[in-house]
Amino acid sequence: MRPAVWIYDVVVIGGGLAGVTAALAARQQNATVLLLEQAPQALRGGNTRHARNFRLAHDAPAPFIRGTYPAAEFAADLHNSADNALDRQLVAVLTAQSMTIADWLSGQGVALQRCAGGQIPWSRKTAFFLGGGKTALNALYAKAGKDGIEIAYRSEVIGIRLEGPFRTVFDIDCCGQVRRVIGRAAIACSGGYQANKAWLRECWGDAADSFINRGTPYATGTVLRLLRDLGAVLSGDPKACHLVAVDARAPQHDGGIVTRIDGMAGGIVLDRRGRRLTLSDAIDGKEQFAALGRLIADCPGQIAYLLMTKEAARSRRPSHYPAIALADAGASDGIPDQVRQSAFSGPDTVAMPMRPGISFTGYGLQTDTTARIIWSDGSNRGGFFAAGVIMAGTIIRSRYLSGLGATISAVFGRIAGLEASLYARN
Amino acid sequence: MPATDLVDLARQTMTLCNICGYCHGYCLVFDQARDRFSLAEGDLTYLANLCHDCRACHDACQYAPPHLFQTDVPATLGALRTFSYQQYGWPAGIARFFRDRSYAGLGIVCLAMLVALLAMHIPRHATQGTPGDQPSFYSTIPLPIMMLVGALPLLWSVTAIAISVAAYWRDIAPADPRPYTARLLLAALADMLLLRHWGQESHGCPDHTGRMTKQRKYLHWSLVSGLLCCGLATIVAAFYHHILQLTAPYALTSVPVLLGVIGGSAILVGASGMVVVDLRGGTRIVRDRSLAPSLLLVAATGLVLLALRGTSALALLLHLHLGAVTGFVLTLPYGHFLHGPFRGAALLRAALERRIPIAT
Repeated sequence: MRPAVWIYDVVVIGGGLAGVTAALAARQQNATVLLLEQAPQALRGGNTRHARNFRLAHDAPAPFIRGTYPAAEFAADLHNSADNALDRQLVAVLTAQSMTIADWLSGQGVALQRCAGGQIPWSRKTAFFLGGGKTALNALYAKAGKDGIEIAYRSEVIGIRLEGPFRTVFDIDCCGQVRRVIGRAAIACSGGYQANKAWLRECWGDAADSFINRGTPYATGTVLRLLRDLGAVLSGDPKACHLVAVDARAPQHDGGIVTRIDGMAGGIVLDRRGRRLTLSDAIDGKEQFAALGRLIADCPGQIAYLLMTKEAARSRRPSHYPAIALADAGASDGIPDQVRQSAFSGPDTVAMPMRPGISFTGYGLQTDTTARIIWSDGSNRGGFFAAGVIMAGTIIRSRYLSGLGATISAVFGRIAGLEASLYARN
Repeated sequence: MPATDLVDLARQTMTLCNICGYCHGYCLVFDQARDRFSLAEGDLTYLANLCHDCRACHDACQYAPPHLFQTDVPATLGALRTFSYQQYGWPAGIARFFRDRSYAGLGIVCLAMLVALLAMHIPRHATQGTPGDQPSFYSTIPLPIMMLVGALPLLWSVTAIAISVAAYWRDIAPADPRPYTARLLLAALADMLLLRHWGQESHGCPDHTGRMTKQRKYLHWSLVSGLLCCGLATIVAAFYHHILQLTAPYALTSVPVLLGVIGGSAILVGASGMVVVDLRGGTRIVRDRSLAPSLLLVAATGLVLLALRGTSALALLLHLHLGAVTGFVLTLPYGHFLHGPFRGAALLRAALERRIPIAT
């Protein structure tokens, strides 16, 4: 950072899909834009680095998506997933605008995977990034650089002061040095707080210590907390989060898709006391992942073991971590005796230790349909907007629909970028 | 890295890819690895030889360094691919010598040029033309010697390559192939020549800055078509000499010379471009790096020889060129050149397996 103070039309906090989309949308309205990314360049992009697909409404098939998915059906799916507790206007905006994000992203250079060839799961509701979220990010960052957006890596917002309309001051820890920038408008796209153990402990108690963060270690929720302290309205349950079962041997952060345990098919699940855990028969398919995650989070010690025969293990998809043979005293050393000696265990039994893996938290900012943050005193301070997971709690409730996170990021990122630039340059 | 560790690393890496699946749209490697749970050593060798090292999947990889998993698909497959050249190289002792010596082939080409220069000073009274004659190819090096120096190394190399490819094919051949048909063979040949699986449809592959380009594809085409042109030039020249009884040197506008000039120039463009791309991209894996510079020497000496064949430099240039060609041909079975037949065989397996539709 060269000068002592920088002034921009729009300051975007967070460099995931929501942030970089917001930055591009604002820049395309000729605003001067600074994008603050807490991660170093190699780890930029928040959880989008681990994303694969996004949900979109469409009235006709395209090379990258099958069939049709009317906006009304998308809206109905959302309302069902949240037991009709959602803001109808927000849902209407999200589903209507989802129809144009594929074209918009393609226009920024993002490549989508074609359905032909059958390499991707059959889907009429979601489209897949060719190469996954990291490739999409690479394309978007390349476009951002070309469009003249200033990108500051390793830059964490540690202080926010709302000094009035068109003047929000940010203190930024940039590689250990504190710098100050001023935004005429600002957009918070800094995600959830799933990487923040202390915050998780506030709502989950000691159980949080056993959670494995499946995504970016930079989802600390610092900005969400700063905004809350400034009077932003938060919605949802602080405990709300998306949990799935992951292999207990997974790294503490960033294990992504490959550490997930692929459901219980062909096996049974025991807690550490050797008691069998079961899921309701009504829960099927992809929902099993999440149901199993919640089940393990409620277990003693937040650990459970998937037991199956060697034969059954062989017929499953391969896993990144090998299944542990219970008969092998050395390998199964860490597995409790109650599990090893349970009625379900035999000489041929193998086990996979499982922990709750947290994908994202669902407690966040409330916004209106223009992505503007709602403040407790009803004011509109400094033109502050939000997009992505930091405000997704207003839409994602008890059940997660595949690809929804990226869609919320792209749709509200684009809205926030547009609105923030209009505000800054009015 | 010991061979077993390399195979284990490749198996671990491709298993991770199979679970993740994000790159399945990129190329045939992921498509062919998919659902192949066991990933036997032959499968991995096959996959390694399908990889173009375009690195699009590496830029896409959420598990690439600095991630804890340190996944690097193109480098791992590249190391295994290089290993396969030595593993199946014949005879094994010579192939072993080339292992981990990236510039051994280039060294041998230079050595052959040096030997050729020394050979200039061998007195050859009996075959030299009468003093005062314009020096010509065959007065400088008698035709039988030239043919011997050309044919013997070529015979050796073709034999060695054939033995290598046969051993390699035994290990990678599909267990349950489609019947061999002309259509399948043509499909594999078209995949090979058109580089159909390189660069995810129309997007190209990333250069050293991460930008998607097709430059490597064009350079590769330039180099290969140059080689083919030069081969064709040699065949046409042999036809001129033996059938039409026309003795070299041929006119600049004659077919063999034109083909040679076009081929040599195309090689110069392709090979020098590839050296630049290679240097820019950094040396990520130990592999034979002699092929492109050796080809540069062959093409450059050939073109200079053509330009100066009417001058007193003829003898020097002819010796240098023949030395370069001989050295180049001798090293073919032990370096990156094997990539051609090995990849061709891998594409044949892809076509023979029932799991993928044949491109039409």
